[in-house]
Amino acid sequence: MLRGNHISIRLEGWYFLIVLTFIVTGAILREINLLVVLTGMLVGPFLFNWWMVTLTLRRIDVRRKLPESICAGDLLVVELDATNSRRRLASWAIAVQDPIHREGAGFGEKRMVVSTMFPRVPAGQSATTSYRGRLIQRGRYTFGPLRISTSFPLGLLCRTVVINRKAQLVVCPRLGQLTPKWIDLIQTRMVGNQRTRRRHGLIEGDFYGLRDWRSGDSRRWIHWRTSAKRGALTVRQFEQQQNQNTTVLLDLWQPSRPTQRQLDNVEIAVSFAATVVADLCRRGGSQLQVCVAGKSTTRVRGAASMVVQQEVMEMLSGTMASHKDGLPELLDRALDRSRPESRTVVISTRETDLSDTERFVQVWDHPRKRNVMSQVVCLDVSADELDEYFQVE
Amino acid sequence: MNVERLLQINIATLAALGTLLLGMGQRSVLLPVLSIVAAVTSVCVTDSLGKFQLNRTVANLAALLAVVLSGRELFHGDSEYQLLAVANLLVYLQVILLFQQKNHRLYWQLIMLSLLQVVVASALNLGVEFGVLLVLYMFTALAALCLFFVHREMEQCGSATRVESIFHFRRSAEPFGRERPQRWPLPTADPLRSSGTYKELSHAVLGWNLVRYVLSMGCTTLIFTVILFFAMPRFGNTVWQGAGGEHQPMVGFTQEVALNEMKKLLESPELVMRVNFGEVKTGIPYKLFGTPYWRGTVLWDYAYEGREGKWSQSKLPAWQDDHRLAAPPSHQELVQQDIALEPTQDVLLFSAFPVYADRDAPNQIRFEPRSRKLFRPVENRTGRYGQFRYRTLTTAFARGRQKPIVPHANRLTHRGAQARLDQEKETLLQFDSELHRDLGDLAANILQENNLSQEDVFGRARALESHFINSGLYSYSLDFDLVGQQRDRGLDPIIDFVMNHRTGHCEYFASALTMALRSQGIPARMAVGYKGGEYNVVGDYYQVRQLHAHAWVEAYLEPHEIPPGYLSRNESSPGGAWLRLDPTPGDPNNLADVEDAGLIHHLHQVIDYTQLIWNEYVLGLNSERQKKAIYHPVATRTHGAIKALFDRRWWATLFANLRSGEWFNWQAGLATILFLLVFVGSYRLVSPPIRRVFAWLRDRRSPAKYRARRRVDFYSRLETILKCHGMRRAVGQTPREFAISVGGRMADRPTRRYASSLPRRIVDAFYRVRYGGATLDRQEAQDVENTLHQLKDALSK
Repeated sequence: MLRGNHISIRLEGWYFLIVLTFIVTGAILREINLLVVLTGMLVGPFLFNWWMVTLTLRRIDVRRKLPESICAGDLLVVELDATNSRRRLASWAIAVQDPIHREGAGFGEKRMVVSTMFPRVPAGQSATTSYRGRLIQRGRYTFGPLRISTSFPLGLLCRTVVINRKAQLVVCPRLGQLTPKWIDLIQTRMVGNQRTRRRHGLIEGDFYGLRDWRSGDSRRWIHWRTSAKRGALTVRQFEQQQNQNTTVLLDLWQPSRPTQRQLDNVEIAVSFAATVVADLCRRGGSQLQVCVAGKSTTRVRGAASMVVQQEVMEMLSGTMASHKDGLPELLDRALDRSRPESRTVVISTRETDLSDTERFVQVWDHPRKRNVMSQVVCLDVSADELDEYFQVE
Repeated sequence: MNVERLLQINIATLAALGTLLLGMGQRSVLLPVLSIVAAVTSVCVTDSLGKFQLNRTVANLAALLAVVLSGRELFHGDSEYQLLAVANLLVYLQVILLFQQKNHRLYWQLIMLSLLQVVVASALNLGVEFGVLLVLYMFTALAALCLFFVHREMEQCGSATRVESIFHFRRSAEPFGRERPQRWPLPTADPLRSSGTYKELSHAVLGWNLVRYVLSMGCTTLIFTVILFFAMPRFGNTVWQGAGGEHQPMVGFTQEVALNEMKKLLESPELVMRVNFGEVKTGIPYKLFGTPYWRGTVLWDYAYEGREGKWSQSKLPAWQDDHRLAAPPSHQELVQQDIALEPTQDVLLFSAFPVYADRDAPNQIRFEPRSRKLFRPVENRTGRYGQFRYRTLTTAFARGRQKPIVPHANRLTHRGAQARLDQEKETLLQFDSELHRDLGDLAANILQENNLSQEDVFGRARALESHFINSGLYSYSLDFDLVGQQRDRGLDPIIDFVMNHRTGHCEYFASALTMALRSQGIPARMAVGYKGGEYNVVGDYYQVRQLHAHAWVEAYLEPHEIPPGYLSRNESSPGGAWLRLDPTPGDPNNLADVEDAGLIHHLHQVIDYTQLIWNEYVLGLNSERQKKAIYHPVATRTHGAIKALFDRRWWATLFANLRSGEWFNWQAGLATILFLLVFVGSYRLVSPPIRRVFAWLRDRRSPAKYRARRRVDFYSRLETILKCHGMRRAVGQTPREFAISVGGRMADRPTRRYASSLPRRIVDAFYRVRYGGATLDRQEAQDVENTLHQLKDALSK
């Protein structure tokens, strides 16, 4: 786990050495014995400092405790635990630097290094310190590697050890609140779908796992290969049967030189999509498909569950806007896989006219998709009407 | 009290101590007082209350003024003056800095200025008190450095966390000069910072643990300094003796006596010899009453030149053929002296006189009749001589006391002996009536007061001796600093002693009495050697040190002038006799009186001894002394220890001693330490490369398939981690199915939900490697490693 380990002389150490050289020279040239005494009194602490910085970081381990998950703007508290495994000799003044880097960070974004300190870690014991703050930007953050260093006791030399322990924290998009109007909108769109609900679906859910055959299980669920291996009937287990399918399409468009408002629109759109997904996953019982058209086109599909929510959050946290128009293609592919009874919501950062047959030519040329288009809801984040459906705290 | 306040007090103390050391060197009270007042005031007024703080401009101007003032002194004076100018400049700058608002730079500058003051002080100081204060300074400086470091680190990590760049996603894209509309509610920036405040960190650091730490650091430094000081090779035989080039003189035997001291003399405890008195026939210890005298040489020529009075044997040729000692007379009380002389730089030997050859070793020592000196038998009489044991016989003792009168060695047995005696008497009557007129008058007055006849030479000599001892006008002292004001350097030192200050040591008293005797026509000479010593009741011997060096007077008595009863029955003195006179009054600092002295006197002795050690082994440690006192003994003992390791008899003796309970043996201890050091050193030197070679060989021997398997070890680790938390892959379950099921189980628990996708990520990587034949690059491998750790952390919650 340890990587990099070097001792350097600090600026004060160099000053100290200059004075020491001066004294040694005087002692030798003029044969002043008191200067030899003084030399010893200066060399001694210097060596002591070297010895202590070498010992202090030996058998010291620092672990970082990150929160389970946070959303952008939430208070982040990172705990650092230092364990001194030595039987004797406490470690003093251990400075810890934890670099934090966001994946896909732009050119203007620099690496952030947070510094904190363990004043003392007694022998055979642990000490805890922490740092806190807010990460404003959603994304996948890499913490580490930890750089622990000490110059104790005199600050003349510094030993630095890099603990190659990285951790990743996904800062999810900020979650807001959906208004009752949004609920109404969705409910309305669901009317008529009930009757098309499939009652006999066999392979409707995501594959969840394998289990022993029980009385009443369908023969179609039997996993023959595993059964053959085990010599006992084993069946595939699926997620709970869904009663509704929802497709959320996120169109993250912004011009090449966006204004602040357009940047904000992107964040609001992502936040809105994340809130919708979180709501659906909390309710459960449906198939969920989330597609994003940004710098890259991504898609997550599965039964609305915590696992899917996590995956969607991870996806949304790293999503970036683009000036290219990816919505037509995305819509085409999404409808390709969606069922007729699916609800489809398009969240766009700009005003979008779905009846534009030229722009969405692939969709309108396709008979099945054309039929479904009437079910698609399109919400323009840039318009003030969004406030009626969604509010960010 | 927080760290910074403590640091401020510490730095102020350090500044005051540095100036105190400097002031001691300059023998100035003003500077230390100024510095102490400035230090206390700055802590109270500037640091605590913040009421008076020099701003930077004023401080710079003041510093410039100080440089100009000191610069004038610097370029108009000798080297010592320049040194003092530098010292003054350092103090001025320090005072200016003390009254500024402190920051890291100022704290560091104050520490460095203080250190430079001590450097300058080292060139000015010679006293042992400097050494004591230097140790105190070292502890204070270490505490200051430690506190300074802690304070700086805490300021950086505590109240103001260093963040290299505030991470904010919009800044780069934000158009210049445009207000951002408040559509997105999150703040633009909120840097991450350490939770601990300066106060909390300060509380965690301060305490007895830190005090203990600093003390242990100081003690380690002290031990290291001592080792370095004595081990660091010296290249010359001259050492720095202070800015004035002065060195404190010491009491000790010399073959010539110079009366020129102006400073305090130190009593050297250096061992000279051990003397054992025994009865010749039986060999049992000879019980002695009173204080014995061992004579080294006698001096009869006195010259006053260049403000210095000097006793010598200058009339004699530099080298005389030596003779054997005479055989002892029969029918007289003989006492044998067994003397173990420590290494010396002279061939001269000491003995109680008259001295005779030992019957068993008649050629052991040589005697030079004219100079009355004993020599050790060596070819080359220059250089350094090792320890020497010799035995002489003497008739100097009768009934346990050393006789005050001993016969003259010239027994007038051959032709020309009388002439030689006359010549000798003439020499011993040399007296400069002009130079020592006052002394002659004084002696005449004393004798007149005592109303002694001209024939009573013995009585007259005793009367003069008594004048110096009992008149109460004279006092014994080794400290000539005390009489500096009363001395007249233009006068002959003997006259100056008798007429002015009347304070001195044995050489002054002996000189004065010798001249007083000669002024009254009594032949006299000065004898130098050792008197007394420390009697060791266990070993029945006298331990004689340099501090026992003494000078006394021997007056010549014609045979008819010898009072009856002073010579033994069988003793004759045809050539006359020598009357030993010791005019030196009791030394108040004499070691013999220590038992009666109080604690203060004892303390004085301790200080005196410490100063001596300081002078000898710290200030005066040169190449030769280092070789003799350190290198040679260490080399000899180490050589002996190594030699003993290969000596079977030594091992046999060692085991025999161990069996008999004598478990400690320094040679064995030293050998063990050496062996362990060599063993540990070799192990630490050799083991890392050997381990690397083994690892390399192991890697080479591993078949390709095992190496390939190791590449996907991370999946095994995944299964192990999951197994530890009760999640086992079922028979027939594929890794991906297993990962999905584990992810589902983790998602069920809120505390683990965030990590539910991690198993699948690892399994994906595993599939790529295991079935896709891909190789993870360094970054991917690192990612997998990190994911495993995250999973482990998540599962442990």
